[in-house]
Amino acid sequence: MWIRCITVLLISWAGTTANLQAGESVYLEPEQFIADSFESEPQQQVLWLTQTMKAEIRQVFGKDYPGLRIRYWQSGARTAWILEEIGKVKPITTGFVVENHTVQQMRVLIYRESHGWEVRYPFFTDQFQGLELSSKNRLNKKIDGISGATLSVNALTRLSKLALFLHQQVNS
Amino acid sequence: MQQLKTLTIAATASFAAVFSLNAAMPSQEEMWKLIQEQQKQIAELKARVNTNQTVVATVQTESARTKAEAQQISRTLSQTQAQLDATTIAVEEASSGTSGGWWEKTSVGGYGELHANFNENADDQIDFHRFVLFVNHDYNDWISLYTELELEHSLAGDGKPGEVELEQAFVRMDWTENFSTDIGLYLQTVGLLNETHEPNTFYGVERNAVEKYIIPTTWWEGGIRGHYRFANGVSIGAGISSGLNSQDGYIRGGRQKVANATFNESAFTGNVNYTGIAGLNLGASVFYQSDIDQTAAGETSALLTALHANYRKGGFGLRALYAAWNLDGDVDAAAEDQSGYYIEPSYRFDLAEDYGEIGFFVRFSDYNYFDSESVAKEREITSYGVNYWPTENVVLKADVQNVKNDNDAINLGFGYQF
Repeated sequence: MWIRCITVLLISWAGTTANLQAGESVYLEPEQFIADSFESEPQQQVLWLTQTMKAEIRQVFGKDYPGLRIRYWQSGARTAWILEEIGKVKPITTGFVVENHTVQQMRVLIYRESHGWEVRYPFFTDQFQGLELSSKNRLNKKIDGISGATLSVNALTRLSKLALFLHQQVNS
Repeated sequence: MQQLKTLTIAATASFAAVFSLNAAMPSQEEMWKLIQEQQKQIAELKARVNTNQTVVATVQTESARTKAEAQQISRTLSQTQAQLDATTIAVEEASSGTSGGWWEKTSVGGYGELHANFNENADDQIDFHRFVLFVNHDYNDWISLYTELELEHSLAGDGKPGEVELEQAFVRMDWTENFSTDIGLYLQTVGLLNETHEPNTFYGVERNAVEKYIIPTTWWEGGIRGHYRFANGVSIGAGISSGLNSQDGYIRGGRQKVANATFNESAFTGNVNYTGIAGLNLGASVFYQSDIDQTAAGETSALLTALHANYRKGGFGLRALYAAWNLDGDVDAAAEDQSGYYIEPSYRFDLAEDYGEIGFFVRFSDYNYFDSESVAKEREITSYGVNYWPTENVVLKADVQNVKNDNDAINLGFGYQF
């Protein structure tokens, strides 16, 4: 009987603290990320994924990136990208700010996996600051992972390479 | 003489002045001719002005028309751009499957592993040890279903070596950004391997013996649990669930797998983890069941405490775990305390571009447990070996196990995850 009471209390407490807004895994709205990335938000631009571009992306990203185009925002030497990749089974929506071919900021905007919640916090994302892409499409430093979320971490690492590559394309 | 010169000069100047004056005054005929020429010039200039004005008017008309055409082109361009955007979005949505069907919120994954064991003083074996499928579904933004179905040892059924098992089937509700609950059948949050054991995530062909016999991995129960995550990297969890059913103190044999499980006694779990430093995972878990005997004839309380550490920095890795059971009651004295620990340093590095990664490990394990034949066993195992990941989700493994008080083995393995 008392076990049932504890169970009911647990669920009730969960209910009283519930914040039933849609998107509880939305850590930061993509629109807000873009607004926060520039002093004054530039116009959205589009990079079309031509056959040549797709082939080069395959080299950098390790696989095809879906879609016909990628949206980005640019002001001077600074670009911002919102990219998505599957972690273990679900997509991770991520924002990158690149300036002078160096990652300035990485934010996990929407996370849907059952493990790896740590990826949203600065103690993990700060590692991505200062990342650069070498001529051999390798990053200049290794990203330390999260136990139990290796695939998600690998996905974010691939996305950072892609963001740096795309920045090169629009600034070449 | 001087005066004559002066007079001459003066006369000459006067004569020139008179002559000049007479020369500046054209005749009437000359003036008429001059006026006619000037009028002719004026007429020509007027004609040219008229021509220029006509040209200007024409240019203005052309300019206005050009401007109108430009505006029309601009409107057409905007419409075309909008149509292009709409078409692109439609194509992208069609290719990504956003028609709203249930399958768009359902994901499939899995893993598998093939083992070859070359045993000292025992038969060598080859076995497709595990074939696992995950099917997950998002009902909405905060409620998700997680399931895991496993086939062990290739063939299941009467007289067959394998089993078909439901290892996970629970619904997770993310009540807030930091708090979630799971209800259903789930893996216990204890140890390092119990929740994360895809073959490409650990070293060694077989799962380590300490977690296998002490935790006892893989261990799942049916119940409800909650998790809370703090921004500093600390997370805590607690749950109430079904428990073990063991009359002889053999822990691994007490797993009921939520299969018509005896539920006379509930079990309680709690855990705390720290992952606030990238690459680091420190954790502690407790499990308590007031009576794992679950019969009227006997009563044995059981308490499990487990501590673990997992650290990876660059290519260097270190894993360590300690777990201990304390059983108290109607159980063999040799079964009252069962415990074990292991420590596993490793190093992993990239091979040449596009050829993946390779890693080497050493693991020292020491544990004692009460087995299925009610015999207390002590083991020390030194394992060392290599993992090769040609890509992050595929792994080839080889290791050597030196087992004190038991047979040594050489193991080869292949595993994948998708």
